[in-house]
Amino acid sequence: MSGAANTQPKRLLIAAMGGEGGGVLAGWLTSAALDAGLWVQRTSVPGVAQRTGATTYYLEFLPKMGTAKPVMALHPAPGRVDLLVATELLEAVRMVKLGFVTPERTRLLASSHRTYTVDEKSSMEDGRLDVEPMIATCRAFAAEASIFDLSKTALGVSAHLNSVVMGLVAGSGALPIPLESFRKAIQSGKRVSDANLRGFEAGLALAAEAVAVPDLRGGAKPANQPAVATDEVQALEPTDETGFLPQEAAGLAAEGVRRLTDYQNAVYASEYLEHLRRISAHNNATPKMLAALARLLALRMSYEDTHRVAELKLRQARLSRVRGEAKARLGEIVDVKEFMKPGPEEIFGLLPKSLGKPLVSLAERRGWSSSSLPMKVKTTRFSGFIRLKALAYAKRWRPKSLRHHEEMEWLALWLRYVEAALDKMPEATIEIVETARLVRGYGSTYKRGIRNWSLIETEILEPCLFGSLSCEQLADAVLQARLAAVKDPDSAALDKVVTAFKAVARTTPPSASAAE
Amino acid sequence: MEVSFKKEIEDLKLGDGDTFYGEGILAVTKALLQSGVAYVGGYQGAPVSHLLDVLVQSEDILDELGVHLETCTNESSAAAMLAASVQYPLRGCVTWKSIVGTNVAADALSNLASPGVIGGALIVVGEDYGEGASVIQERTHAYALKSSLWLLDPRPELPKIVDLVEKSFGLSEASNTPVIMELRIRACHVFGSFETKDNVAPPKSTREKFAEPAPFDYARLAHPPVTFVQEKDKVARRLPAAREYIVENELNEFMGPASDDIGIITQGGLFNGLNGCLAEAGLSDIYGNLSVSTMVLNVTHPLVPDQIIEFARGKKAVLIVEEGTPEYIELAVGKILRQADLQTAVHGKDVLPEAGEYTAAVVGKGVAAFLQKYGRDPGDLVTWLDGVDANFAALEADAPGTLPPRPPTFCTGCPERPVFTAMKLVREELGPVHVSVDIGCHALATFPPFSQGHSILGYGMSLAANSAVSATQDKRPFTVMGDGGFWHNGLLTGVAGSVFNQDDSVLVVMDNGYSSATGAQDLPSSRPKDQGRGKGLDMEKALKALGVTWIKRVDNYKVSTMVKTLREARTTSQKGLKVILAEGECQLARQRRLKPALAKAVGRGERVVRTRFWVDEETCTGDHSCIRLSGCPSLTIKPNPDPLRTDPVAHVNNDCVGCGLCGEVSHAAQLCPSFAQIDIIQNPTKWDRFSKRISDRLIRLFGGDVEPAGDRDAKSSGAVGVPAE
Repeated sequence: MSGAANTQPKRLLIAAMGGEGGGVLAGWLTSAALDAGLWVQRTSVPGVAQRTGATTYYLEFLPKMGTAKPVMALHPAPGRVDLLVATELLEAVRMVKLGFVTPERTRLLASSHRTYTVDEKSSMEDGRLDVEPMIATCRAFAAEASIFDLSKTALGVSAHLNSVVMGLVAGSGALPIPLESFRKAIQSGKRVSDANLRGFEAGLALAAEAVAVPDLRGGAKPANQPAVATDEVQALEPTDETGFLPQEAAGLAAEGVRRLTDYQNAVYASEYLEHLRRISAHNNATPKMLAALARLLALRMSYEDTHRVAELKLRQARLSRVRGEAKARLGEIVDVKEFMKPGPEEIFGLLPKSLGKPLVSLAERRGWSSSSLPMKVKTTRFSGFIRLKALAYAKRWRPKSLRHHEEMEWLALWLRYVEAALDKMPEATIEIVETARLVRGYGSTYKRGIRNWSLIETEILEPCLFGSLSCEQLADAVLQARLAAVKDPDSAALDKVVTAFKAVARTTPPSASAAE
Repeated sequence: MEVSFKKEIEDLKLGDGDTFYGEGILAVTKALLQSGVAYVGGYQGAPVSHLLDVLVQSEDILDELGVHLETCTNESSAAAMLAASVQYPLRGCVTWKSIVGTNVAADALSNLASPGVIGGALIVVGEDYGEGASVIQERTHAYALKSSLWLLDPRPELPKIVDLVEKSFGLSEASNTPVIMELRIRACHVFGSFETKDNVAPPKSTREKFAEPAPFDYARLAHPPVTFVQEKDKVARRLPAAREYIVENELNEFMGPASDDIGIITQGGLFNGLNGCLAEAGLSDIYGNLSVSTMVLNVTHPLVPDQIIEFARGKKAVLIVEEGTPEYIELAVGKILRQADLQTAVHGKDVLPEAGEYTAAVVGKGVAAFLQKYGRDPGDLVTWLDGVDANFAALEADAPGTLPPRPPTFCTGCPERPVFTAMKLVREELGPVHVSVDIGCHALATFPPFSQGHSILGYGMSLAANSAVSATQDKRPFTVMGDGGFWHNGLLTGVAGSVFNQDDSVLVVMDNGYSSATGAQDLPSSRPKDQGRGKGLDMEKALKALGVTWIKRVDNYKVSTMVKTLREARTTSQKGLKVILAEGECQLARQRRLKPALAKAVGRGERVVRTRFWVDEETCTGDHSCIRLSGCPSLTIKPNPDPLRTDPVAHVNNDCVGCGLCGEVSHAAQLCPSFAQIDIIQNPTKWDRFSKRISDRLIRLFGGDVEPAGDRDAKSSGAVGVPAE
């Protein structure tokens, strides 16, 4: 074999999502390589993946030696990728899991930002994947890993993500292409723009920041890696009023008091503290349970009724936030048009109980419950503002309303089970507290939540805590039921869990405590 | 069209000694012009859409050469175009996506292959196989075998592809047989270069027309009794002629040492991957200097038995590297060697997998097993493959579990999404029905969050696929079809058939104005524009002419109206076919039209209202019903700013094009009051400012908060991000 036997091209795999400009990036890289006098081959599998689906681009580069033309591969090979570039974190991990990133060879450049998949976004609670293990996987399987929030960098210089990636690749030194060729390439595309150059320079700066520290498996993590942005957790400070609670619960309760004072008034907030004080006095109350209770009780007491919505929509903080997010510029006028559609329950719920109740029954009899009142309210103009202002003002009569009456009935029921569990089956208490998470939102979401909660109540809570069923499996049953309730919007999973629970419970002899 | 090919069109003019840089499928386009084609045509579909797109945009070049271009309504009409080469010495080329397009073209192909051609006829198919494929996984090879069409599978290098395009016309003419060239996805998109030649104007063309038609010759028809003669001609004359041409012109390549005790026979298209594996084994290098005897079949049908026999003679064994199932080449080689009474062992699908894409590691494993069996040291190949396995084992241990998939979805602002939102709402209200779905962007509704559809039977076939279903269902079934599918096939196989048979069902046709999934090509119903071929054919008139009486046109973005219409279609007592024309222009095309126009208007100082949507994070409770009813890429989630809440809130990012679906959904589905439409008035008029000032004053009077007047000016966020290309 000739000396060429050991010659290998540099191999680059780009993982991207359709519509992100991955094709443009691959084109720039090709131009840069041509400018540098290299052999370069590029291929891709766009297909319909261009429609925001995951997609890849594959390139090989080889310095010219004589005129012999190389035979380059069209497929990336596991264990044979020198540089993996990912424009999003999950796509980086996907390539790692496909074996394209190996500790012996692969330099990994990835953005730490997430573009959530439909599965993650459409979860009924929090379906997001945990970022930390994803980054750990990238680091563990790459020879070197440089992971930055490229999306933030791009946004910072008002450039498109692909130009930042181009800069990062250029600056990484992983390809045998001089910087000038990269720079020339990014300015010679079909669409020349200053923004592309800005992005490129920003990417270049990032690359300079990344001190290449080998991160082989089992080795120490480089200390100077910029921290990856995580969800900011606000530490809540307890107040004197909430001092009777354990630390975490006290902080949450302080926020709860603020929330409820704003929601209604100080008297209402003191009712909240009253509930907490009563329950925290119980011998079996744990700090964890109390924290959950402080949180959920505040949320349930500040239920989302029309008064509340109107009030929130009139706040000043909101206006500047809208302006910022809409990227409105100098001298532009920003109007906000709210989409609201209260149903009969929401409208009649505002009325006093004596008036609202018969109207709700009438609506049910007439089959009006699915009809509602669609409104577009321009809150930035007086006509819309004054309507919401009136609704917000009317909150002083909230305690007399039908909705409030119903909410307080529900609250009493929930707390009754919480307190019963403290006596009879303390481990189950926190799970019962957590069931309040199911009840939230508006319209059909709220109705579904109530329906699901009531199912758990009548089929599990009531028979176990006040009926003849054993409490042994209560904690587990409630947990399973709650998780099932948020699995699908049709409540099919919950119905299954409840049916299974009833079948098992029937065969288990009642415990002594429940049989008393 | 989605992509502009300005630069590529310039490249089509390159002449002798110039260098062309570009993707494989564009190299084919240039090669056609160098080959003196008189006509070209085809039907769009990845990965060969660009071939047609470029030609459509370069009509002046074609006109100068006298080349006729046809954008066909389906692959069947494209294949039928080749009839021009049956009686006339005209070179022609058509293109489509295979296997699906070849299926559609099959009738014409049989009738073309039987009489054969005088002028060179080439069919370039994008073999949509393996990763990223969007169709069923089958081989075009079967068609070549059954119709006696020759099949080329070129080594994926631009000079080789170009050379074979040119020679395929020679092969076709020498053997009076149409030729298929299959190019895999990655070969269509492979970037490389080749030295160009001058374009050749065909001797007879749209400029140099035939004065008289060909004389009547019954023998050139595909009609009995001459079909019996033609069948014999295929094997007795055309086949030997083709083999002779293949040998004389060295279409297949022999690499490595002439004498060796083992050998490899590979499809041309797989050569590069194979070379990589052999290089690992120390049997080749990056320049393809092989030290194992290798035969590269750039022509996979017909095989030349003499070549195979010569290659195998004296070898203990040969390995056939052949992708896809069944293993036609392996079977043929086995027969050839058996009849020649050679004892060379034949390996193929015994060491390589029977199905699936032949990626690097897959081929590597097969090659390693083959080499080891015959006492050759696979060198680093095994070390590499063991490393791959060890890495997967480590991954399994360190990062077990699967990742959520990321299938393609409807683009931001896609007009088809609201239709599926409406269908989902109706499903929630009235229960599920059988839904027959079709090929096209709308098939993305089979993915979450819509997850609907019971069958996909082919392009434009959804209504036909519903015919027996509709007769056996209590609940009236739905059918979805795109305007692409409608013109491709659906109008006749579906609508005419349904009316004719008095089926009781509902058809929703997505009228987005383009063949969107393949890159926004024009369709017969596309609106006429300066550029493009749209003729604005009226689907409603076509439906009425076929006897459909229940037709409703609905603006897709009006979700409530769409819900009402769908409900009515499901519940009306009127029997027969009910058609909903769901109208909304493809958002990609629309944005391409509107964005520059609006930017110019803003630049000129005109009043422009930019609209986008916004989610109020304070009223959002994190249930994500809105996402489950929309799935828009710009409707996403972000951490909940409320310290008491844990679930992420919905969030509209800056990609939002303000299509209005979010607002419509929150109204139609009675969702939550968190959605707001933001209108940004750019270059506001004096009246705008005046009315805003009055309004602000009144609001302040009633104790409300308004932006401080200065804030409106101070809050400038500087430059605005560039839109995605």
